[in-house]
Amino acid sequence: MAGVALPQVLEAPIKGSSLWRDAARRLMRNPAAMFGLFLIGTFVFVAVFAPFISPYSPTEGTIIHRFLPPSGTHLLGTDLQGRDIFSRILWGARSSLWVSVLSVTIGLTLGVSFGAISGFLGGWVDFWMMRAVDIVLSLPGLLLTITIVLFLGPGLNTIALAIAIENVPIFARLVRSGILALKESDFVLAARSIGASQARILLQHVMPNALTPVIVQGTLALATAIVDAAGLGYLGFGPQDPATPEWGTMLTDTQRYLTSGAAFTALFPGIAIILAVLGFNLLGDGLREALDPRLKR
Amino acid sequence: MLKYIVRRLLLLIPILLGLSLFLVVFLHLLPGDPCSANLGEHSTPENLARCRTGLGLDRPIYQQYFDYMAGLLHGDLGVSATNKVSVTTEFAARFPATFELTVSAMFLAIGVGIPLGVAAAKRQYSLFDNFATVASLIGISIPIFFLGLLLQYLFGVWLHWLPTAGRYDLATYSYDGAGTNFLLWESLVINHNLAEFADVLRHLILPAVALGTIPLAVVARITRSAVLEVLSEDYVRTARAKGLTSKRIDDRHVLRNAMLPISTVIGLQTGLLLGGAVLTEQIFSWGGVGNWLFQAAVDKDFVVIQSGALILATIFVLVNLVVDIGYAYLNPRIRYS
Amino acid sequence: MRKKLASLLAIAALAAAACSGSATPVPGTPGATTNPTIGPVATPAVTGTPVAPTSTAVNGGTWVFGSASDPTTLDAILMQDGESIRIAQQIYETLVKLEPGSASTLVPGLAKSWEASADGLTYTFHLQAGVKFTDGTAFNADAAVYNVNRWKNLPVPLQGSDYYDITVFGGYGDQSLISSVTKVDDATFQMVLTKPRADFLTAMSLPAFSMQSPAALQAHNADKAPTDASNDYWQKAPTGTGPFMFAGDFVPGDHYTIVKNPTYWDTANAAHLDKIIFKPIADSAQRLTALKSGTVDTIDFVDPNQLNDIKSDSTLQLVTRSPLDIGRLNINQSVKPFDDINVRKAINYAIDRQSLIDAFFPNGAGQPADSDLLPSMPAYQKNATVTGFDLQKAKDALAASNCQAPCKIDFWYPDSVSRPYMLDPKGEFEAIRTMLEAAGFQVTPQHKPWKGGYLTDEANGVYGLAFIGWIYDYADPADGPGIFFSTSLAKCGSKTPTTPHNCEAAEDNPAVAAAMAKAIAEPDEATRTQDWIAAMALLNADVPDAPLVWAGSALGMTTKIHGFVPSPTQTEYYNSVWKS
Repeated sequence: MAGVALPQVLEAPIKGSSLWRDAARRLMRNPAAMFGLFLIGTFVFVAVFAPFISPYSPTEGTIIHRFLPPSGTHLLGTDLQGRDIFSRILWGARSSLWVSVLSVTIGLTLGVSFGAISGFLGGWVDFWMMRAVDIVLSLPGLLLTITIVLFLGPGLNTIALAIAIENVPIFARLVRSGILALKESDFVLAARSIGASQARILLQHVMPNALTPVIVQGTLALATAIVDAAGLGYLGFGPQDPATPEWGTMLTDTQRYLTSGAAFTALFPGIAIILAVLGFNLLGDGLREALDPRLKR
Repeated sequence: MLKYIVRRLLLLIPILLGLSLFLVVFLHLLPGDPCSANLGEHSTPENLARCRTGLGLDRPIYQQYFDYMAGLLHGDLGVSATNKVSVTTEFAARFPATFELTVSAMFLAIGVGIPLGVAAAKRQYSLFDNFATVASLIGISIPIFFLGLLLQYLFGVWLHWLPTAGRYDLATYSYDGAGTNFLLWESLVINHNLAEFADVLRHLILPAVALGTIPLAVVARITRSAVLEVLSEDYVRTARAKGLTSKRIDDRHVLRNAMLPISTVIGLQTGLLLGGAVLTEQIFSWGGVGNWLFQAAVDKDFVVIQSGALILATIFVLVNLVVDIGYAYLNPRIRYS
Repeated sequence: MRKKLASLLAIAALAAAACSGSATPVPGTPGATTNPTIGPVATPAVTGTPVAPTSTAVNGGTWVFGSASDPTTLDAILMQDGESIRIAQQIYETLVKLEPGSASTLVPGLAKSWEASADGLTYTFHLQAGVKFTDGTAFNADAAVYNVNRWKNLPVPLQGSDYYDITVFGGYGDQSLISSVTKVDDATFQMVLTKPRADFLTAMSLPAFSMQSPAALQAHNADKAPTDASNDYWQKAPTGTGPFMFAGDFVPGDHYTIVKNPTYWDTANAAHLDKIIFKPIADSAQRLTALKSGTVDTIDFVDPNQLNDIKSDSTLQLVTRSPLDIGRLNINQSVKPFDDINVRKAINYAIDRQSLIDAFFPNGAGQPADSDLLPSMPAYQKNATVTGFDLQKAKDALAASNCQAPCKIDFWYPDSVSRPYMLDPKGEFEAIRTMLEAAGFQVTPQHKPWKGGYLTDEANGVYGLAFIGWIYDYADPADGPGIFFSTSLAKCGSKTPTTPHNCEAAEDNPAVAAAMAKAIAEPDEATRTQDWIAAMALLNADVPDAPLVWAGSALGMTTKIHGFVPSPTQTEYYNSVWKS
């Protein structure tokens, strides 16, 4: 049994600064990841500097100037309320990046701690913690999200929190199943036999190895947070102030008017969403390969 | 193992109790009630008050909870406040729709996702691998409703190839409302009607593609990374060194060992989809559980949400039990006792 | 029989229009102003331009109708929503009916004639002969009396789900407007009211007051609580006398099917179609997609932005209904600063209604409203309210108020809803917000899901300024301002008023209440019109709200569908529909 599945004991405990340097080097050599990094960099830049680079206010306009086609004055045209779409997309980067980063930070933190404690302690604690996870997971995802938003009231932070809670059990289970497989493996047994404390084993040996699938899932979660937010927008849940630019809401707000010559108004936020999501996915993919030495060429 | 399964099933009881308590309290903290939902713009304070009394919403929460639980003990899951149909009846009518959609979507995700992931992993960094990676990335980058609408316009409105709403051709299907609503099974096994079976399949294609795209991409990615991981393990190298052919290594070792993370993801995704794919069911007017519970949430139809969630929780726990047993089978290092 | 002739002509006209590929439907009598007539209607209005028929109706076929949702009940007296009423109108019949296409002209239904006593209290109905429910039991005076008694003494568990019954009759048992109901002979019965109500007969045409089989009601425990599982009347056996009937095929969320009633009593008006399948599709864009891809034959409530999609498709036709609704902003005078009439005036002057219509109700789907009444009602007066867009006047009014610019206000709109008079609440909110801010208001946006607290809060007068609207059941002010500006001693939110109070808008002017009460009771049509003009003038002087739009609605259907007569009430009879 153990003779067949012998993990690389020597290189498995992932730690030390050389690892990160190696990872960074590997990452730099991955053109797809670099493109992803470029996309994300662009969006972070836009999100931070939106007030300085957008040509118009994202909230001012009049309904009389609705759906002006793209032109020199309005690079990407105007929306239903006569507002400059280009400016709104620039400002919208703030909302979308905020929702995704906040939700994944919360979800990752809670989920990984939960799953790690559960998987490592094992026994009854593990059992009951996993049943709690089952309860949350068993509530249909979007329904849970909607109920939380209904409960806490509309707003970007609420949406981020709701998406995060949906992600917690997913992270928790992934970490736990990784740990379950690893903690019986030889290097952990070895560490335990030399008297390492539980906490040390968890932090130094098990966690780094269990995190590989979490990084994959985290990649997906960052990206899908934006998609989920757009889905909430489709069902009518967006920022508290409807004037706040948010890509998902921008896309869905104009659905009704697509056939009134306003197709472009849904197209641009849609492209923005897809590019941002793609950026996270590309970078995350590259990170995963870079961080896992066993995947190197 | 049997003891373990029995214990897990017994544990459903406290879980459902906890969940029901949580739901009843949580739902009653939400603003609104089924009355404002039913009365629409005709809501006047008098009408609302009368409606609340009629539905028993003016009872204290603890009493509502006990009455509800007493009903559950008698197998009574309650009746919708909105359309007065019993939860059991409506669930029985709608679950088959969600089940068929989920199975089709997961069939697509597994049937395409795993071979794609394996093929990509075996040719890491090849043109095919890059293409598959990019394709799966784009697959999960498109908002599902955007993809659904795109599919509808392309294959429904523009090309007229595939239907865009519902489960079968309403005008021609000899639908028997007293049937099981498992239309694929019904048309093929009971009615032996190939034309109807094909019709049902045609209706399934677009929603299944829309719903299956994300699980497909997820499964393909996980498969690729899991297979890569296994391929780099020593025992595979050893096996290769011993002269086993590539094909035999795949079958015997790689896929079986890679199945652990893959089955985790498949289990999770199946459970999620069975809970109802709200967006897909909305877009394709699919009379499934997701649509029903979403509408119930919007309508504040407490009884439907409570009972619906309890049923889904039970199903979800069962699916997970199967997955956990699957772990033990796939990885003998894990033992449940 | 002239009634039949008229509707035949209308059908022929529609058929002709459809066959010639033209998208011009028969208008839904926009000028229908005839008020309820006492006694059999002798001269019903012709609802369409008579055109020589160019094709004859074909019998048979299945009509797949893309509706917005499932029915929620088919126990007629408990119905509130349009999708339930849509089906009920095909399987049930009322004592009197609205002329197809009209919102006010009455024609015989299950009662072939009727008389009212001079004091307007006693109504005698003479029933059609030889009518049977689809369960085989006879419709006679006994059955009618059973139904009316059920309305009067609605079982307590059902009262919570009741709307039309309580609205028209005002209470149950001794509180009911119905004093007594008695059988005269097998084909005749009498209803005695406690006080005259001018729109009583018109109200009797509402599908909620359909005649249902007493045997079926009893067999399926219809009088038990709707939440009692043994009450499966509407799911299993809704039984009426109509041209269609339910035959057991209902899959929630998927479809509801009705089939032709083979033994319909009025053979001349029997259904052409064999079967109608109602397929619920919640989203209007999805409905259009389903229509275009051939999944359904007909859809209702076409989005105004998509009207041209149907007009430009030669295989589709558009059937429009004239408006019988009002989209408006409710203003609650008990919330500051809306207690100041100048603030209410400023809001009205600040709104450019034409721009709203152009953006949200294009292609003729709506008209800017200057009253809560519709121009098709005799009591309507043009420019009776403060609704002309004038930015300067708005600024002046605000300057004269006790809330100086920037005047901070909370402004509410509902999430997760689209109503015919309020298709895109958020979009309209943003547009009006910009207009209000231009006049010197400072708006804080507030929103809640329509069914998630918005309606309850709005009805309880929680909001100062909020989107709301009204769909008339028939063209009478009593079924509009007569309801939403009515006063009562009922609990309003957490407070119980000591004097009659209007909860929603705090429109508590006793003179208005008295004038409206007088108009509602007045039996003479001409006097009643004058009463309503006077009442509305008093009401409008208070500037109690901001009317925004009168919105019509439209159906899209394939050119294979003929004989559909649209009605402003948004409920039609489908017995005349046929498929080629």
